Amino acid sequence: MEATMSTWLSHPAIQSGVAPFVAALVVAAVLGQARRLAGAAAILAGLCVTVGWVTGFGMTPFTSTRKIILVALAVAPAAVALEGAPVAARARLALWFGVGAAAIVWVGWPVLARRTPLEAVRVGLPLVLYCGWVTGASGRASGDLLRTSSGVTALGLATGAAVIFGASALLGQLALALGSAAGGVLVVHLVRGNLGGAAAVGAAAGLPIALLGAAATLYARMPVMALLPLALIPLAPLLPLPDRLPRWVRAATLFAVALAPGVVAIVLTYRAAGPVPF
Amino acid sequence: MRHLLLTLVVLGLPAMAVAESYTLDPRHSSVYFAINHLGFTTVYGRFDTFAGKIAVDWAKGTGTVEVTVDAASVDTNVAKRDDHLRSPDFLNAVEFPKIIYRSDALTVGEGGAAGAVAGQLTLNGVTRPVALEVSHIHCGTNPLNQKETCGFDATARLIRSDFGIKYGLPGLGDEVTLMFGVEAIKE
Repeated sequence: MEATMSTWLSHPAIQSGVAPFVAALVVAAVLGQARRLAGAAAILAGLCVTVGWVTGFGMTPFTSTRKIILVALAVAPAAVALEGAPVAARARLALWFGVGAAAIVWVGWPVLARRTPLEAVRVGLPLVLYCGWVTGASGRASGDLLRTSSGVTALGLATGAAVIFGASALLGQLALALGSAAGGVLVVHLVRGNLGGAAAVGAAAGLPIALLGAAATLYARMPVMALLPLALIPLAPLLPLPDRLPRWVRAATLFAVALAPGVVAIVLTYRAAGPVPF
Repeated sequence: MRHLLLTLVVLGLPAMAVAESYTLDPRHSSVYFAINHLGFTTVYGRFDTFAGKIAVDWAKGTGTVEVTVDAASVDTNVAKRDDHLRSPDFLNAVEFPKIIYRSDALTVGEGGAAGAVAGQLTLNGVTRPVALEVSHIHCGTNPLNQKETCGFDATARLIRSDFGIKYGLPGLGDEVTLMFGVEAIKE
C-alpha cells in the first residue's frame, strides 16, 4: 500500500499535473476574496509544490533552471503590485517585454557569454524577442481573467509537452506545473466568477513559462522554430466571442484555440528531437 | 668544508627531482559510469571524449592527476537517453561542459600499489571531495612503441544529489560509480 502510494506520488503526471492544479485550486478558492492577489498566489503555490517535489528550493549550484525558479518566485508578487498601479496598457506591455527580455539574457548568459558577440546575438535575439513578447502579451492589462488564464494554461501545457520531447523532463515539468496551476485558477474563476488580477496571473505564469521554453532551446534539444507557434498562443485570448455564450464554453473555446499552435510546437519538437527518451 | 657542501648537494638531489609528466592516451583509456535503474539493474555508460595529465615525482613517491571529461560526450548506446543525460535534468552539459577530477595526493608505493587517493570532482558546477580507489599503478616501457608509459585502474563513488543532480530520485540511483582505466605516455 505504502509502495503503491509512493509510486503514485513519484509519477510526473501527479507531480507536475494533478498536484499543482489542486494546490492552485485550493489557494485561489481560499484567497478568492483578495481578488487581485488570489490568481498570482495560486500560480506560485502550484509551482512551489512541483519545485519542492522535483528539484527542491536549494539554490546551489545556481544553474539556469534555478534562475528561472527564482524569477518565478519574484515575479508573482511584483505582478500583483503592478496590477493595481495606474500604468497604461501599452506601457505595461513594454515594461513586461523588458523584464522578459532581461530575464532570458540572465538565464542564458552562461551559454551566450561563451560565444562570439555576433553568434551570441544570433542565438540570443530570437529568445529575447520570444520571452519579451510572451511576457508582455501575457502581462498586459486585459481585465479578463477567463481569457488570460485560458491562454496561459494552454501556453504552459504546450510548452511543457514540447520541452519534454526536447529531452528535458525537469524544464518540461515546471512548465506543465505552471499550466496546471493556471488551469486551477481558471476553474475557480469559472465556478465563482469573482477572481481578478488577470494581468498578474498572465505575468506570473507567462514569464517563467516563456523562460522555460527558451531555455530548452539552449540547454536541451527543443528547436528554436518551435517557439514561433508558441509565440502565437498569447494572441488567442484576443479572439472575439459573443458574451451570450456560457463562460465555460468561452473558456473551452479560447483554450482550444490557444492550444492549436501549441500542438504545432510539440510536433516540430518531436520531429527534431524524436520520441520521449524515458 | 668543500666535502660538507658536496654532501649537502648530493643529499638534496632527490628532493629537487622534477616530477615527470604523462599525457593521457585516449586510445587506451576509458571513463565509464554505472547507476542503478529503478532497482532493476545497473545501467552502464561511458564518456567518449576526455583528456588528462599525470605527474609523478618518483623520488618522493607522490603525484598529481587531472582528468577532464567532456560531459556532452556521454554515451549509453541509446541516443535519446544520451540527449536526456546531457540536459539540465542530469549533466547539464551545455551550461557545465566539463567534468573535472583533480588530485594532488597520488601516492606511488613499492610495486605500484596506490590505494585511496583524495581528490576533488567538479560536476554540474559543484566541486566536492571524491576519493579515487586506485587498484594498481604500473609504469614502464610500452613494448610496442617503446614509449615510457604509466597506467592505472581506478573507481570513484559519488552521490549525485551532492552535486545538485536530483532528477529521478529515488527511482534512479543516487550513487554513481565512475570507473577510470587510464594509460598515459611520458612527455
